[in-house]
Amino acid sequence: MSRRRTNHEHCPLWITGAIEDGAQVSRERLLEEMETDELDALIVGRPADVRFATGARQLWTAGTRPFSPACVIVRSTGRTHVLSVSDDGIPSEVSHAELYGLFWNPANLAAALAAIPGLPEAKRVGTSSSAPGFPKLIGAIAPLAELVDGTGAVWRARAVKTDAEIDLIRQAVSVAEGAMDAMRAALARGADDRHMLGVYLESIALSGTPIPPTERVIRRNDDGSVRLTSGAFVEGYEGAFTRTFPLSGETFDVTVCAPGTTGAQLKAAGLTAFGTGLGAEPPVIAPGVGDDATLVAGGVLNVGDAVHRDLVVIGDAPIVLTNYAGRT
Amino acid sequence: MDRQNVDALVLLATGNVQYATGIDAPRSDSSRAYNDRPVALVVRGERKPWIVEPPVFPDFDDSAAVLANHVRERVDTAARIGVDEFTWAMKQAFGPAFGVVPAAAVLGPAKLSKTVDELACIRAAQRINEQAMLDVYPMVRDGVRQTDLSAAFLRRSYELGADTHGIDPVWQVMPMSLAEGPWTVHGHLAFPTASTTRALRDGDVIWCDTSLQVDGYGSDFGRTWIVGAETRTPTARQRAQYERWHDVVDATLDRVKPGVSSLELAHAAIEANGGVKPWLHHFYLSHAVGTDSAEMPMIGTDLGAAFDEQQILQAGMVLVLEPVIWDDGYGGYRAEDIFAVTDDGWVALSDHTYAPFED
Repeated sequence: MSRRRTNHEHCPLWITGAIEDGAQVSRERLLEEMETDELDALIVGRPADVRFATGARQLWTAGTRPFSPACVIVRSTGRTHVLSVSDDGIPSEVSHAELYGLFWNPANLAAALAAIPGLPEAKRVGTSSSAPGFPKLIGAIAPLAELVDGTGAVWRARAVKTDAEIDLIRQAVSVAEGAMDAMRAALARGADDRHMLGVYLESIALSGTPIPPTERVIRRNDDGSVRLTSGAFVEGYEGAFTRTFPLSGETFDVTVCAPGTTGAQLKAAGLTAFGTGLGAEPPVIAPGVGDDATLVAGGVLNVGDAVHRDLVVIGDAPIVLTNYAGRT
Repeated sequence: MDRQNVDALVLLATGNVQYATGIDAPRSDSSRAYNDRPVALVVRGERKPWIVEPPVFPDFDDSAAVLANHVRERVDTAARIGVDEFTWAMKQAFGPAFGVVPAAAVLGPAKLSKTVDELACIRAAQRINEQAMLDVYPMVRDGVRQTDLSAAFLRRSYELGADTHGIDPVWQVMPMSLAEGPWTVHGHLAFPTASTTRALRDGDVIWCDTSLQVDGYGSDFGRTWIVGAETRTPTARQRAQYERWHDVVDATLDRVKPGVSSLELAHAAIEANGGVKPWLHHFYLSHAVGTDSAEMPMIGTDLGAAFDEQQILQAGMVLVLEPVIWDDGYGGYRAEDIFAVTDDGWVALSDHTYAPFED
């Protein structure tokens, strides 16, 4: 399969084909889960879902948006179709014919979606979310389609991480550790919050990965301690962790991150958690949510409390990915 | 809400929540923002909006049920509610109650005209953006990587007071002709594309594009730079592209005042560019910025001439004019400037050098 000439051609993971290979594995996982849920088509709207389905690296934007179709996966053809004006950052597995452009006019978007082979005939279409006008849009394109919840298929496909994905998370953690060092040095110099935030962003960007998992990086506690959350993305995979300085030396027992542990049990241990992969993912275990969630072997969890958080691979022998000061 | 007969709004999208409540809603990363979102509930007739704060996670059943209960406590189940995103968990939790309509029907018209405070926020964000760029510009030399420019820009922006940034900074190296690629669905230019660790080379023409938020309101900065400009001045052809950009902006601004249809602005811009549309095929001649990076009015989109014709300028509207002068074979010039429509004309909200093009 020929590689396209893009802005990414000098990036090692693209040159080796690692990104394309990873995307192939992810796409196959999605198709398997679509079969389980008898989905003829799956329409996703969030950047991380597009990335998972295709490996596409698109321009990052902040914040959330109302739902719109960013990627369509069709089971009968096994193909993915992506909202992208250009092929820049799109793995060559997605052909030019499988890109549809950016439209402000819903009629033009509808026409583009109607041209996706397999979509007009679809009987069960799963979506990752919805909006009040969306069922009508799909009804016009796929008149036989029943719109159903596609989130189960997506999250099941994303939950268990491959070795390659965990490797990318480790790389992201490595960048985050360097940025944490930079922030601590700034803190030691007496830097204020704005300066530390600037130092953090500069550090991850100089590592080639400018996107922050959260802008809530620094918190000064009443007792004078400072909580720092450092994180980075490598090819869309997040690595983030939290420490409070000065370090207390206390930390939680990671054996709690065993498969089958429920959210209620984690909370009883004084912990909160959320999944990590292409950014923050289910399960979300926090006040008011996730009591019934169950940890799945092979998932990666950002887990801890207000003082200290680690990334842990869930398993009978949980693996800590963030062996930074305070957890060694 | 009165005009559209909408009784309440349930808002999830970051820009909408910030617009309705002024709350500092998390924006980075979008995956975190999808998880950890304050939801705004605006009830007709009530002076203040409600914020349904975390723990509310609209994607999840248990939390969506909490959200639905909050809404039911304040809004009659026979009401019409405007919603911007309706997750599956919300559908389940809300059940058949409420007539659900697009929130955009209310938010679109409401956001069209900015108050003086909002314009001041946009100007503040733009000023920080411009100041940060003064530090970045001297770095644009052979060997610097796109992400190095992002490092300097982001550090400076946050130190100067930015709350968040809206896009990963763009420092796109432009080809000289369309044939060089990247391939596009429409055969015209690709822009913007994501930055990488690509090193810039002497003579590269880069189009930069950045966005910061201050108090939820955004900047939108765009300029054309030439790598190594200290020793390499623009060619005569490049300078002509730059002059043409100003011709287009001037001709457009000449028409700007309340009561004018946006179609007239589009026509003025096209005429000033010798009959050729001077904007990106998938975008527009102009868009507004507010709590979202691309808002109405939008001029020149695929919504078509009829849409542009009925879009009438009013005082308080924001115009981010971003013409593109493409000169196939010789590259092109792009820049963005922000204006607000006043009672009898316009006022500039941006103010930045056009170096290396202007003296």
